[in-house]
Order: sequence, then C-alpha cells, then structure tokens
Amino acid sequence: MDKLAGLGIDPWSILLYLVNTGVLLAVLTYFLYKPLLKYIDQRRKHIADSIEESNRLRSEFEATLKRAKEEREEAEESLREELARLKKFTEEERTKLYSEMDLARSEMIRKAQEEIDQKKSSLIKEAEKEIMSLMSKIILNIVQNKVPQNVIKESVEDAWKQYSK
Amino acid sequence: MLNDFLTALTYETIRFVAKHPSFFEESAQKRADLLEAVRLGKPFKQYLLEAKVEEFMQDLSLLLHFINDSKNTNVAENALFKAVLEFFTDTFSDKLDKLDADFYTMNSKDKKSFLEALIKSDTLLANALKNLLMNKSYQEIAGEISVLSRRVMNKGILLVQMPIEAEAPLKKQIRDSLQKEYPFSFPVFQINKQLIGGLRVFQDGKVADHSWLSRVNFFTSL
Repeated sequence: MDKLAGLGIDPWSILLYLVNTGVLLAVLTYFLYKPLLKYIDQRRKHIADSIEESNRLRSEFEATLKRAKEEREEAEESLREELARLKKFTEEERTKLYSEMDLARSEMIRKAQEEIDQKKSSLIKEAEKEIMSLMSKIILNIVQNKVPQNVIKESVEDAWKQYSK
Repeated sequence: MLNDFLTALTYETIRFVAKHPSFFEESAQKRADLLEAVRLGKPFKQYLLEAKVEEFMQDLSLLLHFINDSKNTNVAENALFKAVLEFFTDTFSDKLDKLDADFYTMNSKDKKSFLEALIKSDTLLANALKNLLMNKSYQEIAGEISVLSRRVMNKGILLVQMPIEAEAPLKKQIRDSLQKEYPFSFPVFQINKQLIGGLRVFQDGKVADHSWLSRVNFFTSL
C-alpha cells in the first residue's frame, strides 16, 4: 500500500472514485440509461413496427398493384377483344352496306334503263303510228281521187273472181 | 210494200183456177199444158204443177192472211211463199239489177218508159212490179225481199258492197253464184266509195273483204 501511496495512488480515493462512479452509473443508469434505453427500445420497436408496417403496406400495395395490373391487363385484353369484335362487326356491316348500296344502285340503273327503253319504245311506236296514219291518208287520197274508173271497175271484177275461188 | 204484188198474185191464181176448176184433178202433162198458156212467173207455174188442191187452199188462205197481217203470219217453209221468194230472188232480181243510179234521177215519164221497156208484160203481176219499181227505192225493195227470205227460209242478210255501180251482167253473175251457194237468199248490192276498189261480201255476220281499203289498212298496219 505504501508503494501505491508513494506513487500517489490513494486506495480510498480509488474506492471513492469507484463508489462515486458506481453511484453515478447507478444514477445514470436509473435516470438516464434505462429511460434512454427504454426510449431507444421503443424507438427501435416503433421503427421496427414502422418498417414492418411499411413492408406490410408495401406488400399489400404490391399485391394491389399486381391485382390492378392484372385487372388492367384483363380489361385491356377484354377491350382489345371487344375492339376486334367491333372492328369485325363494323367491317361486316360496311361490306353489307356496300353490297346493299351496289344492289340498290344496280336496281336504280336497271329501272331507269327500263323506263328509258319503254319511253323510247313508246315514242317510236307513236312516231310509227303517225307515219302510218300519214301514209294511209296519202295512199287513200291517191287511190280515192286519182285512180281511173275503169281500173276500179276491173278491181271489182278481179275481187269477185278471188271471192269465187 | 209487197202486198200489191201478193194481191195481184192471189187474183191471178184464183182467176186461173176458177177458169180451170178441174185443174188439180188433171194429169201432170195436162196441167203443164194448161200452165203454158198462162202468164205467170215460172216459180208459180211450178208450184201449181206440184200442189194438191188442199195444200193450194191452205196456202191461199195463208197468203190472204199475210196480206192482211204480215207481222203475225208464220210463213216459214211454205211452198207458195217459197215460190214467191224464188220469183223475187231469181226472175225479179234480174230486172232490179238493171236499174242503175241514173234511173232514180229520172222524171216520172222517163221512169215509166224505162219500166215499160224493162217489163214488157201488162198483167196484174207485171203492173204491180212496175208500180213497185216506180215508187220504191232499190234499198227498200231489196230490204223487203231480204226480210221475206229470212221469214220463209231463215236466210241471213247477204250484202255485197262495191265502190262503184256494177254493170248488170256482173251483178247477175254475182247473184247467180251467191244463190247457188245460198239458195233462196237475196244478195243486196250497195255502193260504198270508201272501199276504193274491189268488193266486200257480208253473209250472216261473216265478212269476206277483198276491197282495196282493207289492203291499204293491212299495209299501213305492218
């Protein structure tokens, strides 16, 4: 101990320092370290919970996202199919409409042509009739007024011979 | 219209039979000899030659009935009326056809002279015919004879249309030919200028058209 005293180390100071440090540690531990550790634990727990919550949320979100993505894909697929069907239907309807229009147009042209032909035929017949009427008048005028009596007399005799056959 | 003629016929036949009361008992040859001397148309002589006394009396009664009430007297197929019809369609038609359009424009005196030359006899029958031709038109006389033909023999109308007046020989030729085809019929000649040439024959609703008009119409209808 004298050696230690000779070095300047007081064992009672060391002890005091040790007790002091102990009391300090105890007081710090009770008033600082424990609350602090508690707080830190709480924070750690809170952070862990948060992390867990966020992981859970992220998982949920991912699941939701995935579901939404799947639904969107399904909807897109359905829409594509609907579009394809609509396109096909439109195409068919357009084809049908075109062919109906063609038919209607052909029918109209045919009817117009028929009417034109009828009109033409009727005009030709009227013209023929008028010409025949005129010819008849001319011929009758000639034979009624210009034929000599003896020719008419001979015609009567010839007609009688023809009748008698 | 034919009553005067029929009355004259009645008178002549009665006069003849009264002159020869035993006529119907005589032989055919004797009858023929007696009829030779009388001036009656050939059809009437033929009738008297063939008739029996009962038939003659009935026919005479029918004739008188007809003269009084022609509309209500049935003369179908009667032998005496057949003879009358034959006289008109055969003997008389020759005389009728000799009357051309000029005859109807003559004055009475010229007409009378013409008829005296046409019908030389002066019996009651001949005078009745002259009166008929003097006072009635061709169409009227022809119409009456056609009606008689229908009543006695049920013959239809026979009409021959021509554009001009045909000469008597042609008319006779036509008449003879048509009467061979249609006995007891009386072809009526009619002028129709519209025919232009040829002729047209109407018989019982049928038409045989050999006119120039029909040919013109045919050619213009082609």
